[in-house]
Amino acid sequence: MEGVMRTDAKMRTESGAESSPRGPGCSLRHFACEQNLLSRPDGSASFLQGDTSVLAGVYGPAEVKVSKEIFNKATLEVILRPKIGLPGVAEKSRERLIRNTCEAVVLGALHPRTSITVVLQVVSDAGSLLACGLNAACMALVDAGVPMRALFCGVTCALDSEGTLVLDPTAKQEKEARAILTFALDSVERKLLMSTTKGLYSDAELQQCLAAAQAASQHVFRFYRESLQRRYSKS
Amino acid sequence: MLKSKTFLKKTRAGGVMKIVREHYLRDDIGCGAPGCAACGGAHEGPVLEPQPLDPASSLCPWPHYLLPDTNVLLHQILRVWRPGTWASVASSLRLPGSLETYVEQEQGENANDRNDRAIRVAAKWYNEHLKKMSAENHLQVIFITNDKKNKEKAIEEGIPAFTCEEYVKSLTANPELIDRLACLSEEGNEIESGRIIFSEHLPLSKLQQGIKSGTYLQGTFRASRENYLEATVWVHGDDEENKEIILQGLKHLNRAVHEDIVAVELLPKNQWVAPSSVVLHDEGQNEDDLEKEEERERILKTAVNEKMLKPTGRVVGIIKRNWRPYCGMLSKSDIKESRRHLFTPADKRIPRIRIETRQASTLEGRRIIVAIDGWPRNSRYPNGHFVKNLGEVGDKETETEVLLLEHDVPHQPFSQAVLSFLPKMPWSITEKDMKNREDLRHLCVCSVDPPGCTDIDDALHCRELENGNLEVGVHIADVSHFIRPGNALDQESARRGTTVYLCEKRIDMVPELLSSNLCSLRCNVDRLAFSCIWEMNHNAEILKVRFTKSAINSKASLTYAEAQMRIDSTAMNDDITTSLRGLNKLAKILKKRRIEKGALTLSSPEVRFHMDSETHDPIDLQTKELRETNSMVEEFMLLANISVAKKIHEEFSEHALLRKHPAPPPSNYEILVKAAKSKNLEIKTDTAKSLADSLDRADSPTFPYLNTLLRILATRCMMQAVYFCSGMDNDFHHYGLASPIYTHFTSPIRRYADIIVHRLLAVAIGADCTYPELTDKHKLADLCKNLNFRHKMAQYAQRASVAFHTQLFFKSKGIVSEEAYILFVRKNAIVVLIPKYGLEGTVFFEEKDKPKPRLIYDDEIPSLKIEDTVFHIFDKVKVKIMLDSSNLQHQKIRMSLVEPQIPGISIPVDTPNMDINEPERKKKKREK
Repeated sequence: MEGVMRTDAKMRTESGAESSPRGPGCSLRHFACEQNLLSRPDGSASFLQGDTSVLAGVYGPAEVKVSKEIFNKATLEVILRPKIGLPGVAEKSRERLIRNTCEAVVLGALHPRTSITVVLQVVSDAGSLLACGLNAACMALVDAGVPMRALFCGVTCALDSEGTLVLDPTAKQEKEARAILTFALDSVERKLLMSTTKGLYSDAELQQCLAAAQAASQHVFRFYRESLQRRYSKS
Repeated sequence: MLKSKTFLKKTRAGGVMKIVREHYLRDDIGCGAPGCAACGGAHEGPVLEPQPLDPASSLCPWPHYLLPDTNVLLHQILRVWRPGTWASVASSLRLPGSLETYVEQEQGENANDRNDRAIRVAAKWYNEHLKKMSAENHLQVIFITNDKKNKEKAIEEGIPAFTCEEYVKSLTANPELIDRLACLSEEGNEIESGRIIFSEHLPLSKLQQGIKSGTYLQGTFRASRENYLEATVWVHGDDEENKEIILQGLKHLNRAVHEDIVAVELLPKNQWVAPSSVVLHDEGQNEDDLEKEEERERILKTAVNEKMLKPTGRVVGIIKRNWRPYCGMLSKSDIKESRRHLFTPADKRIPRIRIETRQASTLEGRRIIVAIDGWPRNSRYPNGHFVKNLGEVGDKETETEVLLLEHDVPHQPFSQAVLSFLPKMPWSITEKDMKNREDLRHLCVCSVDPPGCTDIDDALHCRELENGNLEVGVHIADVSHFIRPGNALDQESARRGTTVYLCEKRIDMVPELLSSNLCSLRCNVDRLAFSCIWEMNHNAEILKVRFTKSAINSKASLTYAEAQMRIDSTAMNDDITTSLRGLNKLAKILKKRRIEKGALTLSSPEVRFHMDSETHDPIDLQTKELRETNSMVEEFMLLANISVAKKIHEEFSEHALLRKHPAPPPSNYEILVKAAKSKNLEIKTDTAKSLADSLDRADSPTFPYLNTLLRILATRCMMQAVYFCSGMDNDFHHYGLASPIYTHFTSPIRRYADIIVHRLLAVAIGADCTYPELTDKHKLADLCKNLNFRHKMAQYAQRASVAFHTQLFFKSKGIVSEEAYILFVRKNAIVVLIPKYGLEGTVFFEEKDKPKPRLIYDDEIPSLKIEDTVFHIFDKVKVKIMLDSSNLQHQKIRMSLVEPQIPGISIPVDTPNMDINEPERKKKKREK
């Protein structure tokens, strides 16, 4: 898989369409993450993927509204705020995808009748927004110390009209793509937590994308580990 | 897949839904040409003919297929398409080889342009495709379009294209097709010199605004039958202000056609007019006689007193046209070789229509169907086109077809789907049928009907019980057992609403198997029935009533005459006869009681034709005779209907189907009261009872027929009885029968209302299960509306049929003179009734080519003074009846005055063409 990805990366650099630099041996754009940058929430993180950036804050476990109370586990809420304007249908859809992913890993049963709220603020959208939002949410949850079964990350793949696979596409690549597939994967078993797709693709292409995403997730998780290590070793 | 589109949608619950739309193109549609290798397997459905027929077009002499564009197809195909001429219709409906011919909408291109382009691409594809298939055949596809731009573009792209008109004109083999082209070409309509006759119709948006603000009123346009320059508009809206607005004069009618929904503007009060009593028919052959028209309009406006004035208005716009194809005849133009002719519809309320045809000579004297295409502002008449030739005028079948079409009577044979719900033959009563059903086969039941009746829906019995009381049963055919709610048979019957009886034909509401066999209560066979059984004492007082589904076996089917004979003959004493006598005795008591309560005995001249058994031509004509037995059956039917009405209303107060007969407004009686006053009689009209009484008293020893005449006139004053749903109305009273509640239960074979009543009653007594539509009062109200309409139309069709047969009768009889009574006096005519034939007709006093007599019309009495003779209502006159064949438009019975003699008006008695000397003799007698 690595080989494939590398050739992909090469092809893209050759075509010159890529604007943001990508790390060696990794077809993903450059990552950056900063944790605990907000004082009010219980945990916060800002995640950068190329020029895409999402700021996340986590509140909880905290008191829950009676109407939303679940008797045997914590109520998870995800709010995604666009850069400008009010959240629309697209945001609602993403919120739901992120919430489903979080629910799959957060051990909500440890905090029954509480609420855990993840607020995501889009800072800039330059492609693969959902994946970036997932990553930011995960890092913020970690920062807040919410117990989780595993970490998770989001990876977006795009297939262009010739069938070439592009990982972590930019906005331009997304626009030109024939299909866009976003996966959420967990850190323990590398299993799929969530997937959403748009456009046309074959069975084989889906498998190919999934494999590529799994491979790419290793890089993300390695990055998580490194950034956390850096943070905790400092203090 | 062609393309897919994904988008998100918010659901009502606040969730989000992802919707994916995918477009696919079919690759399995063949070109339709048989033997085409390229699309070999892809053929299915209709195919093109291997060798197109009809190459007789002078524009393209080689064999070709036609590819009409959508507009041509929509507007023309029904008119032009005859089997064999347009071979390619099927294939043009679905564009073949869709992968090659798919066309995507371009930016800035509207849907129509895209469709046009798609058709052009298809035409091009076809031509290339056919060339590939068989180069030597030289098959070609010709593109037919009426759109100029489309045609230009097609020719640019190398597709042979013609307009529909060009192509049809080039068809040398079928010249008559050109007439069938809907006349759409604008240039063709510029007949008149552009002189604008009518004011412009306002656009719909303005009309709606006006209606909302109250400046305009919306209503149904109803042209007058008697005067083509007058019409009324029934303003829709709340019942209490159901206003009627009069429109007078061509310009105010402003191109509205009978039944259109129009917007009218009320004129200021000083321009209001009274409904004129002039009879005017549009006879002008030259359409430019506007001056004459104006003069005619002036005739209408005569000085009348203030209170006669009614709201008057003018049409400002048409909200909805209600045009349909009209039956009628062609009035051939006087100009030789002219292709434009006027068409005179059979319905006098429809204006004449101008059509273009080259086959005027073949169409002359035939009944044809014409459709209206439009009515330009500068044209006196609407433009239309020829649709169908029905047949020779005066031909019985043609005329029957015409009157059925004109009265919107559904008369097609029953469809296969409908017939599939009929019970399988041979049919017999099974165990299952007997569930919830009483076995009354042992009772001595018999039916009494007019001779030749095959749809017997009622039978009666009467027997003495052990306690000395009488048991009377009315047994009605159980049609609802066979017609189950909701199926195709039920829907078709509901649509037809009623059986229509014409003079020589019956248009059944239910298929014949049911109407004349399984449901008909014939004698000596087991039949299912719905029985209404009373226990009565000898004073005909009802002690008990019960309803039950039953099985009966009628012992005899009698005619009225036979039953009467049995009752009268002392020799007969069998069960049936005693039963009949018992019934007759009770019926007399019932009738007396009913009349005491104020039921009206009205009269209308009903005639019956004696038909020749072979040619079905009428050979004699007689007014219907009424026997005691007629009223005996009638009495028990009324009783059954009333009992059932009470029962279903008790059970279903909100959705019982009932029949009411509203009391007429007092103004309706004006004419009757005036007429009676002229004979020094007084008619009281405050209640039904006083009306009935005063009618009974109105007798003149010197004039025995007067009473009948008054009753005929009283009938005309009545309102129409209507079906209604009890939940939608609160006035149930039946005025004519003086019953507080009434319904129809006794003729389910020929009336759909009865079937519904049967179902309601069956549910009420627990003999059948209910269904949702039965208890939906809005659905019932809709049904009532249709039934009322169908009943009205059936009545009109019946009258029209009688009128036609009367014509046939007088045709064979020649010219006759008969005594007649004046029924109405009009401004320029009198309406007379000939009692001998029950025939009504109009005698005109103004004729086209004769000097106008001096006419003085007095509205108050009413009377008409011609020269020195005064005509009053009910005056006895003598008229000559003849079939007016001079005017083939509408063959009609023409009546002219013979007596009293008015020089210059009445016809001299001794005209040589009078074949009967009788009137002359009589006249001499009087002169002595």
